[in-house]
Amino acid sequence: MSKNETQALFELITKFIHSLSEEQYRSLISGKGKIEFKENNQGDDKRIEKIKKSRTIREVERNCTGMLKKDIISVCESLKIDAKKRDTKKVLFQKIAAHFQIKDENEDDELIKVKETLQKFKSPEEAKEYLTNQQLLKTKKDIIHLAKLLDVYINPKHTKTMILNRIIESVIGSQLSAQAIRGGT
Amino acid sequence: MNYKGGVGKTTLSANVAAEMAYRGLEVLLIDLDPQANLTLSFVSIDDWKALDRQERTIKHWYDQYLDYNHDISLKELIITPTRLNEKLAQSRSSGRLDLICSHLELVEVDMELSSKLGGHTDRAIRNNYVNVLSRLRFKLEEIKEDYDMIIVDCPPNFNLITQNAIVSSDYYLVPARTDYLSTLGINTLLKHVDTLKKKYNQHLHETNHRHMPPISPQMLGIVFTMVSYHKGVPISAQREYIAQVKRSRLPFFNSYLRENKSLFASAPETGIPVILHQGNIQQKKIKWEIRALVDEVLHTMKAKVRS
Repeated sequence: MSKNETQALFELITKFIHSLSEEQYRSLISGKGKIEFKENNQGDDKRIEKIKKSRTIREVERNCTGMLKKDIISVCESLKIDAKKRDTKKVLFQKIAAHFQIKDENEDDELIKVKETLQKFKSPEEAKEYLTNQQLLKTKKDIIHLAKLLDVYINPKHTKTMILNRIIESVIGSQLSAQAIRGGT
Repeated sequence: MNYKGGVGKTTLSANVAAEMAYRGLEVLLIDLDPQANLTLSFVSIDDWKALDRQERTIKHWYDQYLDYNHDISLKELIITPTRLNEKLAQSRSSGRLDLICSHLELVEVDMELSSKLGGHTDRAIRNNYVNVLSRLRFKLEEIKEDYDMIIVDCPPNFNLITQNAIVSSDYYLVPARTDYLSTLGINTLLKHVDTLKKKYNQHLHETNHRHMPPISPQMLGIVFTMVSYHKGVPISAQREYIAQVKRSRLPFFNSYLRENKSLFASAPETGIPVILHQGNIQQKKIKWEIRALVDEVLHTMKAKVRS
């Protein structure tokens, strides 16, 4: 074993003993407690690198697409995040985001801008063109999120296009109907 | 006011008036709905029959005008409902709630009023139009100084009786359910009120009533009624229509009235609106909402008067 390796080993041991409470330490010496070895999952490391780059909670969610809850818990454990089995996936994403100090504000702020711009359109066609070209509205989840921000009641089972049309009808269509009835008043 | 029936006009009128009286205001309630639900929320059937015999309902008042062209004061019709005012006294409130009762046959009065609108010349038609539409306005002028607030419960239509109410009002509230047709209905109502205002003012200017100022009834706001809650917020299907109204820039109140059939359904029988009932947590929630709404109504009125 090289000098550096020996030094790293002792540092690891010192750090580990330092992290123990007096009680845990006594328990270990007396043989009541035991040390468990766990190898870091290579896959977790890759995912963690990807998750780290997320800017919002929803991006964290996207970067965990396809993962089972137990995989997410495993990532949490690697990151020493206090994850519990009873936590929902949503809570786990929030915990991961909090660990990396990722806030959800940025994306919502951007979507709020989309919401405000949408409300200014006077024709459904213009609104549709605007929404279909939005980078923030690529997935169905993104569109549903916008619908929630606008308080538009949608059926999540509907297609992306149907949900977009529903948003446009509720936001622009309703105003046009109101104007048509009120006429010049 | 709202064309739609079953949106909570009477419940809203009764509770807002009772809360205002509880706060020490002198309030007059006028029931213009032939269904007489507001009347029967404060007066027992027997008492109402007695008033009918004495010809002290709004229908008899219109009859006097239609039959004899008599110009009777509304004072003759005013009653002070006993159960409610006793409750106010028990609560040590200095306020009072008076009532002008409706009549089931008021629906026929409307048709007869229409027959008064005609005339042989343009001038006669204009004069008749102003006279018929101003019945309530002219007579309320005589008694309005006696009250801090006069609240009129309108029928669910836009007939001449409703138009009488609009012409005589400074402000109107629109209780609305949060659904597609109710939301559209608000716009229809606004259009009709605006048309009425323009036509009435035009005719008023052209007749011998020029001393009367033109009318300008303003919508104080939309009150969302029968709201169902889930986890402390209105259910999403209703939130959509609330959001649509808010986006349309129409005035609305932030205090909503929740759906509660068991409480609102039985209250009229007691002669005392929900707002003055002692109650459980559900009743308390409703009372908070009504109080918050009355706060908003009074605040909005004051702001409008100042501006």
